[in-house]
Amino acid sequence: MRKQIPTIHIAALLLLPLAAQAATQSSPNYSITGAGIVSGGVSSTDANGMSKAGVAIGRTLYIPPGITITSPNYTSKQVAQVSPGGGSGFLHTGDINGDGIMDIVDALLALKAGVGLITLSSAELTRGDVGPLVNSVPVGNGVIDVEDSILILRKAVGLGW
Amino acid sequence: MLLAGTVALSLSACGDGGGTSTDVLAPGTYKLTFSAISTARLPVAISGVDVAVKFPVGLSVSTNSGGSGQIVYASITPGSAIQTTSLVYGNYSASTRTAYLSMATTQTSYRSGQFMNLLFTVASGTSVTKNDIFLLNATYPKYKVVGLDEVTHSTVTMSGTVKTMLGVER
Repeated sequence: MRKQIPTIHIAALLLLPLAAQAATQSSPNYSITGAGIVSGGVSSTDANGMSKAGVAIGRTLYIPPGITITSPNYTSKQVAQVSPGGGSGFLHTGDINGDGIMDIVDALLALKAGVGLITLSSAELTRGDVGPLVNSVPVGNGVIDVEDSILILRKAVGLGW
Repeated sequence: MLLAGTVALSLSACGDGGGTSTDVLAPGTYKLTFSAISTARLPVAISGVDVAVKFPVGLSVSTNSGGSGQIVYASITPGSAIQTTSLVYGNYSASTRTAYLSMATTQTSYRSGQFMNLLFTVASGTSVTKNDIFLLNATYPKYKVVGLDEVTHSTVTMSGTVKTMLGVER
């Protein structure tokens, strides 16, 4: 049974620049080193080291924004906001409009963008580009279409992904 | 029967136009139904479909602006096979006479049947057949059928397995 943590609904995911912080943080079930190695996890489904408060993409841990992110097994702080490529940006959260809540509005925005009614900004596109989903990790493929819409819709109504 | 009540044969996914005089649509408003079919059991339920449909001259879709743009809410609805939370949206291009449509649902059991309906109007003085309406599955690169594997928590694209069929109801 996967644990549900409220912070999973928070808006844009932010990168914790591990090396820059030169910090090693750990919990009984989770550890992060300054070299950017993420290991552990709070459930057996965390094949990619995903925590319930964040998503590990490659060797980098992304956590939701906020002053402090707390889970039963992990605590950290928002320290930076950078994209996986190193530049400023946002990550694949589904919170397209960036209001801090992923809801039906974001699902509608994804649908509208998918059929060409609106054009998303680069940041909006990145936030909304949650599909494909691979082992619970929103990978993204550079486009917004129905794959993103269904994932955002599911999460907006509390089904998660 | 999924398409019971349709007054016309289901149209092929990639129709090439044409038709007989008996197929000519009288002026008025019709409902275009979209149904998913597959000859194989799908690995997961269908959660969403992106599709485009091209209309012939004489048929029109209501939009908020009266021309190109968002299709009015009342004209596009989830199909009869969709019972749970769902969203449908449409964008109509008057210049290409093409409607771009998207349906997303949280239903975890939908594998076939009507997933969306679209109202359209046949103008007076036109001679249009049902077969003149066709999907752009073959040429529309964004045609997509997608589901979610609840076990692996991964999306599954089934565009090559699932076909969308059209029907016309009065």
